[in-house]
Amino acid sequence: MSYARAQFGDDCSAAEHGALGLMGEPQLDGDARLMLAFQQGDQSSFEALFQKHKRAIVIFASRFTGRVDEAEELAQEIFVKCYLAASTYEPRAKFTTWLFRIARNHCLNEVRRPARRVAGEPYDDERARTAPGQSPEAQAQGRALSAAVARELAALPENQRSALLLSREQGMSYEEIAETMDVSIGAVKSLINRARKRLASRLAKYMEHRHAMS
Amino acid sequence: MRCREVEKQLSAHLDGELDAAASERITAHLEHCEGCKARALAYSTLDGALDALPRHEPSEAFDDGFRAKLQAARQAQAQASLDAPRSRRRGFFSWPLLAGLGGAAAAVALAVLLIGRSPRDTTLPPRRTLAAVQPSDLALAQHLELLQNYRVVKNLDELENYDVIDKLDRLLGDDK
Ligand SMILES: [Zn+2]
Repeated sequence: MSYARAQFGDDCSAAEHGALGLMGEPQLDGDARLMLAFQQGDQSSFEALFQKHKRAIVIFASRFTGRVDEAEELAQEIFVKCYLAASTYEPRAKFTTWLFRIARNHCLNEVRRPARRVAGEPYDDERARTAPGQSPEAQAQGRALSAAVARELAALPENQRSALLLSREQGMSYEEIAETMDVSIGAVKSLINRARKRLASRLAKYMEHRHAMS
Repeated sequence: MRCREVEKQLSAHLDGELDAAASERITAHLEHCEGCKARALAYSTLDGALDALPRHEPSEAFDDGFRAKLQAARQAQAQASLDAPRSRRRGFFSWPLLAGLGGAAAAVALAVLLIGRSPRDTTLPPRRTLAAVQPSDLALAQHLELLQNYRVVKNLDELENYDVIDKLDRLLGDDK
């Protein structure tokens, strides 16, 4: 058993700390209570947050960068930053807005790096989801659409991409997105609308296929 | 309602972010405007395509990878703290206290300090071992990588409170 595992195998109960947090601040959601417990030293609370949100962060990183091959490493680094910066979290902010603020920032730094760390294929369209029972032609078109969507998504201006991803993938409200991105709600509205407009225009030929098939 | 206005509000309408009256005006417009209706359909199709994108599941190695990075980061912090000139350390922890603790224990205490705790917390949390703080060659290599990585930590500056990051920078001798 590695040190790191032992560290997270802490018996110190998250639930116990959560309950204490709840008595003090009854309005806090579960994530916020876990963060408070972690700030007070309970490692298992961070582990719970990590387990709960890791999938969403991996998906965000892969969508943001357009690189499935980099997504896990980026997501791991995002959680290291969260761990190290945990004291900066204040429970009046929703945990996910804080988490995705760090995530967006980290991904942004990565895509701005002059030399990206991995030189692989940006998107493997063999991974694209296909519905069982579809004809090979329809499957091929579905894969082509997914690859094109992922490519155009990654090519959006960063703030449009972030706003759209937080909305579509995370189901955040415009208000939560505004808080995550530190912009006004009006700006979020405009960013998401511009993102959809641009994607719809660039993907028109694939989507017409889609209409024709359905 | 003009097409131009509908176009500006269309995403908010589809996302349920408009009030009822504004949404009704858009719905009414879409019923008789082919151009805006086509746009709304295109946006909905796009949403469907976005939702249908494959979602990468974290691999089995994901958790271990995170823990390894975290462990290395904490070791780098602790090591950098111990290696930093004494003057740098003043101001954010009590050196005489730590001096009595011995290397590994001091490293634990430093890591704890660096990770940051709420101000009301006056005792060390029940954090387990940091026994792995003995720097092996591997750990040193990790430190080097992490010292580079921790330049990146500075870019967290959108967050509200950067005391932890600031301490990290000072420990890493990056006072620029
Ligand atoms: Zn119209």
